[in-house]
Amino acid sequence: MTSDPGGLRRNPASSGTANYLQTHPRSDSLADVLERVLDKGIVIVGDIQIRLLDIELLTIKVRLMVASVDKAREMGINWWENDEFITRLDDHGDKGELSELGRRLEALEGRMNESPQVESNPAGREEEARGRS
Amino acid sequence: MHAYGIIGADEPLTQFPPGIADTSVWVFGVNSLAAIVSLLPVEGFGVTDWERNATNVGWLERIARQHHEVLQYAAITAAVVPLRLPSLYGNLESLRETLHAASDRVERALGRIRGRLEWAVKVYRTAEEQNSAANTASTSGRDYLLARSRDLSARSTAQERLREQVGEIHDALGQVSAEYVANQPQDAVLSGHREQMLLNGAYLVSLADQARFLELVGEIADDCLARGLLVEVSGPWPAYNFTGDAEAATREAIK
Repeated sequence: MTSDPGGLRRNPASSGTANYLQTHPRSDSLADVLERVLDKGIVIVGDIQIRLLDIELLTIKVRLMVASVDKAREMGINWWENDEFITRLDDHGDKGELSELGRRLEALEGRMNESPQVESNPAGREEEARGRS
Repeated sequence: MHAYGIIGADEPLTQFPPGIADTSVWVFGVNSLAAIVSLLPVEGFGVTDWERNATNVGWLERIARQHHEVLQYAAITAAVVPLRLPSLYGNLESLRETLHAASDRVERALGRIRGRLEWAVKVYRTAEEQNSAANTASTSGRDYLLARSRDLSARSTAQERLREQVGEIHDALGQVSAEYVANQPQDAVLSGHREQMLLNGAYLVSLADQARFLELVGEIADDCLARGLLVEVSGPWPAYNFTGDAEAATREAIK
């Protein structure tokens, strides 16, 4: 059990830290850094959105990431927590559920922009949440 | 003012790398703790600027990396509780109150992570799944449905096996770690890998066990190659994944 203090001096941002296993040279990808320095939970939301909708992927993702999970829950948005549902979407790519998610995403984006005109989804739960936020 | 992280007041840290917006980074001590801080320019870093730039990937990346660099530097020599980006404080007094209110939980976290650093291990699947239903020159709808149902059950068995393998890898690495956690695998768009990520693990490893940990990762990687799995390791990182409670304490203190 030897410790290797020399290895610790190296920043993952620079090359050379134990990357003999890596096939990709950058050990601190933007994804890794953002996952750690921003709110982790909301990244999950972003991941799902990215998987399902191919519009403005990164924009949506980042916008979601800077909102906190608590805030999202406050707004009644917690559907990503249902693993089974997500798995089902993943496996079968159900179009009906996809467009439902799309509608929810639009509503979410609208709220984050604080633009009053976006209201393409009539989900009562989110209406109610909007009143609260 | 932005706070990057919290260390013990007795840590001999000087000469930090530049902080966000190339500001000078210094430490602000409160009793036994010290916050790593820098004074952000008024122009361009107010709360509305953070909100407005939430969609600006370039802006966010620059800031996230500078935040991380400061913490990375601190973690080389000190136990540090990283704070979430952004952790904005209006003045030193509010920061002092926060440190004071969160001190118990921060002290506990510092004790847990002292002499330990975080390593990230990811496992990807490189082999592609076969889809015989789609390839079947279907003579009838019934044939197609049969093939499809075979595919689905084969796939779920394979998924199950993969999940088990990945769980075993995660636990084996956990045996050499003080604490470990599996995060949600990153989406391909985010990770920049075409391969599907199966494991996104974080491991808190003591300096004494570091060589053993990396050796084990190497063995697992060799073993995985034959099974169509790819292993990637990165680190050491500040203990981002193991200081959540202390980090939360600083935010609860604000309310």
